[in-house]
Amino acid sequence: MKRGLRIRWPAAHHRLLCLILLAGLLLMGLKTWLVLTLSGLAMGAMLFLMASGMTLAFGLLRVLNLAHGALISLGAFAGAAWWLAHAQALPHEAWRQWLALLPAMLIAMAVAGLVGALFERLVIRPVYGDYLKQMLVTVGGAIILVQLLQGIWGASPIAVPRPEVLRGSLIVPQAIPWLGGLALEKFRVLSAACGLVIYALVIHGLEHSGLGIVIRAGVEDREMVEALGLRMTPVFLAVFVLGAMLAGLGGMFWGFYQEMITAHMGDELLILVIVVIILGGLGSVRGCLYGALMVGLVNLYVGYLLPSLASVAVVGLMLAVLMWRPWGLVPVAEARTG
Amino acid sequence: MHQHVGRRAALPARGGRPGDRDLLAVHDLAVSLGEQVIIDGISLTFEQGSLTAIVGPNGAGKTTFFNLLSGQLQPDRGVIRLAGADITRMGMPERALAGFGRVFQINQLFAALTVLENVTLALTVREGRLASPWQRADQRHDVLTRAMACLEQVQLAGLAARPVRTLTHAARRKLEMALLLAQDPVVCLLDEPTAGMAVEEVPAMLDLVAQLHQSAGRVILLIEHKMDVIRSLAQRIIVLHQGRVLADDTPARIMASADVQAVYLGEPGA
Repeated sequence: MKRGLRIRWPAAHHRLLCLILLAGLLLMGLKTWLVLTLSGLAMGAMLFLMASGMTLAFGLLRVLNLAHGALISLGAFAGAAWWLAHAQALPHEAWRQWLALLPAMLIAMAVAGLVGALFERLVIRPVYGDYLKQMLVTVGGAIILVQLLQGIWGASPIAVPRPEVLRGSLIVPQAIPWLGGLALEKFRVLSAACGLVIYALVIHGLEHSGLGIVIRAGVEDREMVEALGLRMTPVFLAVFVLGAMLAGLGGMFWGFYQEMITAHMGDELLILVIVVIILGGLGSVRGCLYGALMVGLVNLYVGYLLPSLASVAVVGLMLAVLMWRPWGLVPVAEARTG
Repeated sequence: MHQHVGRRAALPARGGRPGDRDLLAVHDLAVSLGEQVIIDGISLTFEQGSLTAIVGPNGAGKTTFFNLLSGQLQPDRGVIRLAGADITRMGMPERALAGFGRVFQINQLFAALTVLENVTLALTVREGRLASPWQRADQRHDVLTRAMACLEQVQLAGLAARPVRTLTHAARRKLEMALLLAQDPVVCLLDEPTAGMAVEEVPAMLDLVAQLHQSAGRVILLIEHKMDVIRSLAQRIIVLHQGRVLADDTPARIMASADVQAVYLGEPGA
């Protein structure tokens, strides 16, 4: 291909995201738009955490894991359990509270990862390659996990108060023109930042590590990697556990976001998660991020402008994208994941 | 690739009879898919350093035979030995590590990866380097150097950073040969390596096959339809027909054989 002057259109997922942002800006005031956009990004970041594991599991393992929602709940409960046990005793200095969030995150990831490992080994490995059995078995597994959660923590919702440092908002100083007085909720800033950092880490790992190349190659053609001489079983396990850990982390954030957890929260989120990964293109991590951001933004914009349509809007977005791009925004065949 | 010479030279000693030059041997190999018998009792041996063409009309079982050798398919009966060791029950990854390499009839590359990443993957898998998966793939200097050497051998070094999906068909076929070089197999299974190539591209590919053959000690099996390609490369031709070996001889005698003529003339278009 000769290099010449050629105007390059931005990729489809960039165009659509810009379009959504712009439409929002035109339909509401700047300040409202900024607040809603931040909330949308925060929601998108959490959805990305929850959905990325499922899209990778589908892309590489060819497993549609309908128990992914249960892993989300599990992470939320594990993180919250540690947090509730220690929240009272926390000193009030801000940095100690920040520090206390870290073990909660690690515990949520560790528990979800551990159960994910058992789940892959006991439930999913026997049904590789058979979609129908996978659906039945993973739904069964999800029911067992959710019932276990209910058995331990009860069926009624549990309140999870946010840490003090994460309550309230950052206020933009009045001196700044147009934006003065704008209140940005701290927790949303944190979750948006956290989601983007993890996205960067995952993409960097996929692009530059040896395991990353194997995963990308395996998403494209698993048998071919085996023909080169690599047993994929340990890779599958690693990817599944990684996905479960991210789901657990996302679940914990979602618990703080809603300040409330139930054993069924994951099942309810699973619908949004499935919309996100189909929208982004099954198996594509980059598509997953863009899908999640769009779902978050559309959900909040429409919720503000036309509240009665909020729940339909996200599904409408998915249908529109699928009619335009049947393989999702970033189809795996051409996904360069980064 | 000097570090691999030791491995290959050591191979025949592993359980093989001393002085035995037969690297690959199959005995009474058979497989059926459903009701249909595809391979019906094939027994063959292949010497180190030999290049054998496998021909036969469509449906003769050529590709299935390769699938049995590469481990993609398990035989119903029979034994496959590599350097004397029974490898019949080994799966595909284990056989690849034992030294089987394959170029498929249809392009088999990772289209979303770059040219260099494809070769790097083959090299790292080959050497079991994935034990430390977090090592940055693009900073492993020696792997990169050797990957580039493989690409230079097939004249693709200039395209190293290009995603495979942007390559032409001929370039992809060359890249497959580069992957094969990176794997450095002792048994090469080439399933129509010139399929779909333009006439002017074919000689370069034949050159690569010849190079693979010259670098000592391999067994090369070649499924091919083009007789001129076969004549220029192979010392031995095996004709498969309905899952059996119909003839096994030098090219000159095969071309003259009445049986072979009958099989081909009986099936126009094959």
